[in-house]
Amino acid sequence: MIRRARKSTILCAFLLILGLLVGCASQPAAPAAQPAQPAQPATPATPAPAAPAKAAPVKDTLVIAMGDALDTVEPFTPTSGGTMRVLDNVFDTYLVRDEKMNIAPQAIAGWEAVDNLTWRLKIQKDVVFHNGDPFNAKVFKQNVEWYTAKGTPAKFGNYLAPVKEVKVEDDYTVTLKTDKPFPALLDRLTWLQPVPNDHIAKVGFAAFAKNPVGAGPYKFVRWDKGEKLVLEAFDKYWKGKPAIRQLTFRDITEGSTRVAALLSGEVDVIGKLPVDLIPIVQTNANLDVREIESSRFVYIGLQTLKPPFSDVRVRQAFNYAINFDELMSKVFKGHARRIPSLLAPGYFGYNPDQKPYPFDPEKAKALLKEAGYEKGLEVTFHVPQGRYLMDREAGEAIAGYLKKVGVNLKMPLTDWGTLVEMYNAKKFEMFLFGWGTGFDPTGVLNSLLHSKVRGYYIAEPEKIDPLLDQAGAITDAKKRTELYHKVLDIIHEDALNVYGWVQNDIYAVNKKLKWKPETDERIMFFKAAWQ
Amino acid sequence: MVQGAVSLVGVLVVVFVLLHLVADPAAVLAPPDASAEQVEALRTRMGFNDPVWLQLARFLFRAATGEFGQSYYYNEPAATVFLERLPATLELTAAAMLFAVVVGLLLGVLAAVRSGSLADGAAMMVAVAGQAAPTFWLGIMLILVFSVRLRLFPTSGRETPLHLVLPALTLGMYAMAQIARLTRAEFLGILTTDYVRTARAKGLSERVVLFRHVLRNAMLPVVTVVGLQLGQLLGGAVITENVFAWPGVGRLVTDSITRRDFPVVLVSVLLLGLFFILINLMVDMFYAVLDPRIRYD
Repeated sequence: MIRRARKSTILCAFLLILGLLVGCASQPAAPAAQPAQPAQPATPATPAPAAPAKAAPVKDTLVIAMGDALDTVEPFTPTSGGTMRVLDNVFDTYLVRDEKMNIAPQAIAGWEAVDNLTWRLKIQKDVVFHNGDPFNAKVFKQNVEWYTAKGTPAKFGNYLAPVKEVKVEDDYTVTLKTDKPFPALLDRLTWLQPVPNDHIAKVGFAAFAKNPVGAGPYKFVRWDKGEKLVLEAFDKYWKGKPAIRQLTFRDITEGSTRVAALLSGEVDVIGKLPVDLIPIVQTNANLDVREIESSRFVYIGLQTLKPPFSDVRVRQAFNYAINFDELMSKVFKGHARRIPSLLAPGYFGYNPDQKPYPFDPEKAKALLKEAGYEKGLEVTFHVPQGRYLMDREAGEAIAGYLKKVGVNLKMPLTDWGTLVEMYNAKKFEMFLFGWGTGFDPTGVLNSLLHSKVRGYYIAEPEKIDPLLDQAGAITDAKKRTELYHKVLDIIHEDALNVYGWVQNDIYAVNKKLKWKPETDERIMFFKAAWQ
Repeated sequence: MVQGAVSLVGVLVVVFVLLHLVADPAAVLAPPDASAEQVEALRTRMGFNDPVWLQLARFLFRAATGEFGQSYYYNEPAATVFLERLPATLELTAAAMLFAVVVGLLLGVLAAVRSGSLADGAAMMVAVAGQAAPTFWLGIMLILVFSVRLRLFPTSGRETPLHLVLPALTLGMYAMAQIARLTRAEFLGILTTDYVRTARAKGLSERVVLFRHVLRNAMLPVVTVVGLQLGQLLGGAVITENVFAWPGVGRLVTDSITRRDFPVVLVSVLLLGLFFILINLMVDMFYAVLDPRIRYD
């Protein structure tokens, strides 16, 4: 009896293993870092023939899964950028960026720099909050005072810190007086929203946070934390009635599940489409891939205060050793673009004429030899997993290139929280980081290069600080651009980082939906409509 | 009971001290363009610059009154954040356990009773596969086959009872396999004992023999394993909850660790630990029901 049991179990097990081997052999080799590889046999004959009876008349609801979990439903205290982008549909910002990444009006209709310390702003007429309260010059003044008040709940209130006085000229005009030149005001206003201060004063911020009221195209209906956010069209929106009457934002953080939900028709739009799963969407007749170049760029930071990176030759060698063009085409499959320095296209101060380091492994080897590392070099390289597009994969490819010039990279796997702490404590040698959303260099370059900021690791404050300080203190666009170009040149020559790429934001949508993603990871559904 | 309480407090203290010695929430919570001084100011405001023993004392004192503080990430009390999501995890764990026990027992009994036949081999193959299949992969596979292709179940979320099926299967698969194999082994062992032979000799029907005598005796080790598995399930819930976008506590805990949201981590450790101890107590008591030889004085 025992012998027969063993025999039949062994036979079944053998057949199973055989089946698995055959199945695996027909799959392309999966990169180890991406765990989500749905088996090829399961997907080819896509749901098109089996498409369930989807309502033939034009829909007016939309289900979206962006890939981030929402942490609040008001835009003043969020901890994640993804949350803010969703809330852009409930809370309009004062200003926005258009397709060319230039500042465009929204709740603020016009602006004028009267002099170095004064701005005049024109408020858009007919803007109304969801509870009926109006938005006008008086309310704007209240807003600024609320933002800049000590102990304000608004996390980004300090964005308006240089504003010392707001004068109401008439119902729709205000004058702002600043204590020092504030050229970044307009950029800052693309991050702040009109606040219904009277309402908040009446119900208290805690109640407001549970039932938010904004001035955007969609009203808050319900938030099932961790599951979904439901929004309804606001008919009194000043730009008109949104075509889509109901938006549901679902929390689905796992990439493959998001794609599955899209394939099954449960969800109409998804964000953060994993690069590996793009072909699956492309071969589906009902779905479209839509992408846009992000404002998020990725760079590799080097600990320039200590050897080996205190030696400029080593830093330059690293820049020469990596074949970025191949990286862009093979790893990113064209979904990222190389950039020469620390700003991405669209950022103020970006220099489109700046040339990146050419790929020259021989030069890299020569430089390393000069610096005394002919026998080889070992460096610890910290790369996050899943934080940026193909981050780990790119890191591994980079390790491959550096190996060819005699550098051995150790890549420990660390979680994001730990990486941030290490960055703060300056406890790293080489790391891959990204920066995004925010087009004014005072936000970017100052945070990354100025000696007064945390994570300071740049070894040349004397050269760079004065340029940054100067550029932040004047409003003349041309002069500022020149100064920022100088900074970019310096950090390029001295190879203070290894310069990387700017990634694309990749979305997948139901073909029948008329909608385009916007730059800066913004996802506005006001103009969306079903065909 | 007392033992349980002491270990609970012990775990809490250890976790607290580890977190506070190693991690720096201020660094993780501050906006990316904050200056070094701003981060330091945040640190002081949150009390992280006080000595660890003082922070611990403060925490234990407040915890004793049920006051766990505000979550650093969500703008809410940590206890609320945790308790809001607990029912979802309990639901999933219960469903997974139900699946594991029912299907596991059935498969195990089937295999034992038809020992040596193809049914036995097939059942054990399913069990081995169930134990070998990684949870993540299994979840995605089930979604692809049963949701996307066959449109039988929804892919994710928690809305209708149908939403519970695939996640429960995924989470419970490993436990089910363990129970199946264990039951089969136990059964085979018992079927050859004297008292079973006596029961058969007495003329009792096979069904009575199996279910009244053999099963009850086979259950003891199974119940032990189930108690242990509940802990495993709570831990494995993280992956399953992630794959199926199930709004439970598993994901919350791991995310809170990454986000350095201490209050939520500590509340979770305490409450999950409490829950675990209670379950084990219940398992111990169930023993006494099953085995008249066991008595607690």
